[in-house]
Amino acid sequence: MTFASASVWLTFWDGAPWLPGMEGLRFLRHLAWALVCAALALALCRRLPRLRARQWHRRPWLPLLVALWACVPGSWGTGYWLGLAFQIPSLLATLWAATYLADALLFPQWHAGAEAARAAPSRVWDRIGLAMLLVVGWLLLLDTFALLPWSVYRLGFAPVAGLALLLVAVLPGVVGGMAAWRSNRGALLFLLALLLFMPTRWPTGNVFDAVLDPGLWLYMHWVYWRRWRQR
Amino acid sequence: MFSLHAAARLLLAGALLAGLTAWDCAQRVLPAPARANLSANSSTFGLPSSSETLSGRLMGQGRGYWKLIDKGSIPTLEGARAAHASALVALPANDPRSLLAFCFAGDRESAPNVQIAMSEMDRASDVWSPTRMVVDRWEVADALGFGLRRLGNPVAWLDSQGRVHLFVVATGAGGWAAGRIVHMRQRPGAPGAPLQWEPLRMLQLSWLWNMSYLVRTAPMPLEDGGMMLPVYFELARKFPVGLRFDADGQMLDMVRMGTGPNTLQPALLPLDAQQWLALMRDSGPSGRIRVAGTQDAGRSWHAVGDLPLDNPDSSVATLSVGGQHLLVYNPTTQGRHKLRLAGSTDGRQWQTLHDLEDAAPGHEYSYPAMTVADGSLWISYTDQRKAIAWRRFAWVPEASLAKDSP
Repeated sequence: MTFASASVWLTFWDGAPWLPGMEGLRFLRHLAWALVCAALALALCRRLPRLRARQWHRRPWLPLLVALWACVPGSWGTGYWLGLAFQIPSLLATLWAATYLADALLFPQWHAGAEAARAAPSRVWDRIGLAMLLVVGWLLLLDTFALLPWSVYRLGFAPVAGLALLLVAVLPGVVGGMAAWRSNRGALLFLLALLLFMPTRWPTGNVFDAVLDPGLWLYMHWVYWRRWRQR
Repeated sequence: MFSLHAAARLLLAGALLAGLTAWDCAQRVLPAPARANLSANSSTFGLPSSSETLSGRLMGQGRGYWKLIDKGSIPTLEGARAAHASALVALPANDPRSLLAFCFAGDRESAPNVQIAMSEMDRASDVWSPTRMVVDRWEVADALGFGLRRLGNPVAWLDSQGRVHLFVVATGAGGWAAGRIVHMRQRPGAPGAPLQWEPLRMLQLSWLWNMSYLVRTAPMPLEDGGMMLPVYFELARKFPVGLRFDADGQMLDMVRMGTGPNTLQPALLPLDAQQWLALMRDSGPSGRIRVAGTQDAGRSWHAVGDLPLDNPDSSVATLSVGGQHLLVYNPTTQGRHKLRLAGSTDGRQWQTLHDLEDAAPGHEYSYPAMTVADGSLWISYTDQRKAIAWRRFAWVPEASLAKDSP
């Protein structure tokens, strides 16, 4: 192996973690929690019968208020306390929340389209992605407690991990073209999360934290269980 | 056959991946070309650097020993009723301070008002300065942008540019098992100026909300100017992990040193450039010091077994000086009322050098720390959870002994 190829090899596998800057992270933390909290508030208004009966889900000021509360700096803001307990949501969860809010509040026609796409039978990439992230989450959980013989989470800092996930993420577009993205929004968000992660390293410098956080992973179990019951 | 559209998509995806990968690789620091060897040159400490002669003198030959030359307590933080978990760091010779001692202090362990306190040893007068609070939980939380529930063990390290780094346990929602590690660094300033600190980041070590990694024992300096910081996981299972840092304090890698389930607070001990040991507290029923070892400079670790020394699930401190290995531990199976300094040449067989404390059961002397500064060995430890005690030893070499003998 030549010196040049050895260097590339070393960088590829053993390059030091490239971590995000702290200032950008402060901004992202508040923004991410604002979007996730607003989306959760809206989802609750839609699902809880009492709130739904009062048409709270049609009032955009409620998620906006929740989002603003999360953005308040210091201990008066919810972002401060959510950060204490859960640090920061993944980019995928943040993007999911952003599109959920945009669908519901800004572009209701998108929402109708999304609902139609959800009912389409060709969402094979979303299903594959969901199953893959569930498995990855279980591996990361077992790794957290040192129950695997090798460390999975550590790999997430290496360039090769980002590349491997990107290879998976571009697969729907390569195989199915734009039509695959249109009918598989989850797969598209997965790709966007990785594209955002690569230059910024948000939120932690580890690619697994960009595409999956424990909260999102738990939610995915519920989604999977719901789909399984509907079959 | 690929259609033109499919080929174009493939090309586009390939270009995207290649571009992002090249960008990613260009941003990263190449790891040091040589393996991370330990810092073998101890002559900077002013102690004998030849490991053969020193170890021969120290162990079993009776031609040299550590002599206790001074002792006392570090001034307590004003208003604090408890102090615990001290850490020591020696400063460069151009600094008017020879030594810094850190601990956490407040009403009690895990109290809301616990902060990180520091005292400085004046090089000229050998007097500790009044202890002052240096890390305020609320200020650090504001800088990081999210809350910290409690502060705990501090650990300090001096980087290649002479800056002190501080690693402090900070808990999230929960007790110590919800702990994380804040990495702080001394702000630039003239030698001797009051130390100011800037939080750099929360070390990211776990996918599970970055929970349950704590630090307690001292880093081991490496030949490349970096260090290996021993940390441990303690949610449900306890196991040790090593974090490798470069000379500037950037984290390079993390490696699991064992799988537990009861080993924590690893203290690193270099036997040579490639072989290291990690001596660990055991929260299980063994009543012994557990050991893990590496043959490849910390890249892979395996369990070695127990040391033939009693230990009541209590933190230990280790230090290698000029080829000799030192260990401070509680030599009991229950209670922390005794504290002992032991020496070894191989890290496996240990001889008692000094009994630092030997009190009745019910007393507590624990959480030791060690360093070498100005040619002396310094040991600090928790005294009854109320104060930090210190001991200073000087190496009495062969020639002095011969002169002293009748």
